Amino acid sequence: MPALTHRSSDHDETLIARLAAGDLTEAEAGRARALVAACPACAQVEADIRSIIAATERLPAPHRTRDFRLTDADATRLRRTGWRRLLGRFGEPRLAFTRPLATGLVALGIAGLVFASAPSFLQAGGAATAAQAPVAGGLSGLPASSNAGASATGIEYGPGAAGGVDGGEPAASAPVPPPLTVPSPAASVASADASAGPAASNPPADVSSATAAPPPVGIRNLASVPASAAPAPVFNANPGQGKSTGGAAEAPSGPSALVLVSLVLLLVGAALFILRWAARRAT
Amino acid sequence: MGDLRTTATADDGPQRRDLILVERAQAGDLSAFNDLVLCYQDQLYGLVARMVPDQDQAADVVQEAFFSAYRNLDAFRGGSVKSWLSRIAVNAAMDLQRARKRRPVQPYPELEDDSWQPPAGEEADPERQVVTAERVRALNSALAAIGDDQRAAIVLFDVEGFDYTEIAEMTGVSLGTVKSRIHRGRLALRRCLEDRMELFRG
Repeated sequence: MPALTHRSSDHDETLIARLAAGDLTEAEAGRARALVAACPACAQVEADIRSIIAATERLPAPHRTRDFRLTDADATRLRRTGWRRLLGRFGEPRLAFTRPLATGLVALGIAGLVFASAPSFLQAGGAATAAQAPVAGGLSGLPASSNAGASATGIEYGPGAAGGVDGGEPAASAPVPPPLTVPSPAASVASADASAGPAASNPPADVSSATAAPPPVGIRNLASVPASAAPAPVFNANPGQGKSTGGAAEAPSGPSALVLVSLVLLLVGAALFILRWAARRAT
Repeated sequence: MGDLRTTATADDGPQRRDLILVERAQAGDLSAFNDLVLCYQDQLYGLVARMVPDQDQAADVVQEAFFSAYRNLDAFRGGSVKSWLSRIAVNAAMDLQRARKRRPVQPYPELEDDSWQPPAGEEADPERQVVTAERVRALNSALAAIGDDQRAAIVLFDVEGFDYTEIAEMTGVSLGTVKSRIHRGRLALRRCLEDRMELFRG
């Protein structure tokens, strides 16, 4: 038996209340009786609880103040017909499972949408950081300003354009970066927007035949193209061919099956929620 | 729908009567439903008035509970009609209490029921009557002061005589929660009545 303190506040009043209600196991009842026998305050609690139970059971019933019978008008108003009858079925207890089902569908839908959109974010972020190093390395022979400009515009100097680079070196000796060093033009443009600052607004410096030419038309548009769908661009000073680069943006880029399925799950779950809510309101 | 009378667990008169009335009401007989109302309106009002000590609100809750029962007659799947109606009334009362919590208004007034008079006979002694009336007033006041969940559990158990399992089904909580609410509620009542416990002792 535990040592009893003399302060009843230290004792378990709920145990005493349960003893008074006869709601204890044998072991608990023994402990509670010992407590009551040893502590006068606990004994008083037990006696009071018994008195309160007895008084509560004898409480007189309040008298109602009106008659609650239904009139014919009430019955007509309350009788369900047509769609209200159908709607009411969603509020029945046997269809209570629709609530967790709706929660699950909505959760799956949201998770699917997040999952479907996460790879493009990750790929864009990863490609942006990966793109800067190869481009900078590939143009190491160029002056800093032209290097920055190239990086800023995300333009890669392919073999065809290498001869046009006025970097002080012949075309043959110019470093030729591998054609797939920039995985995504979108990433390059994104990195340019983020890191190059004012340089991004300048055309690529010292590109002899391209100096007068405007930046390729399709570059900006490529920002919206999925990275996997866009080929690595090769800079071409010919604006006409720049449009062909823009043609890559026209590659099929519709929503994926995962997005569609997630949207359907989300909508079905939301519809179930709304139906249950409306059914409960109708009842 | 199958014969509801076969689902009666006890072969008692009121239960069979209730099930017959429900069947007739389900078939569209409004007078049968109103017979049910006559059987249970006092009991439901007594139950709700303890949970919602404002008399007008309690009456509204009971009326709404009977409306809801009528609308959902098809959902009745047998068993005790009294428990079914009580569950609807308890849910309606709890909805009202939740609404009161969202839009706090004046606290519940102490339940005054001047129509009640102590029974004549042995307790006709005037002094005894005064003590009994004061005890009822104090207990009602304490009931109005404790938490809604505890009050509902105590009223259903001590006043209405439902057992733990029935209360758990009505209120949608576990058996342990029901017991805990009842025991803690009684202790809360004792704290509220601390200054007036002499009325209850002896």
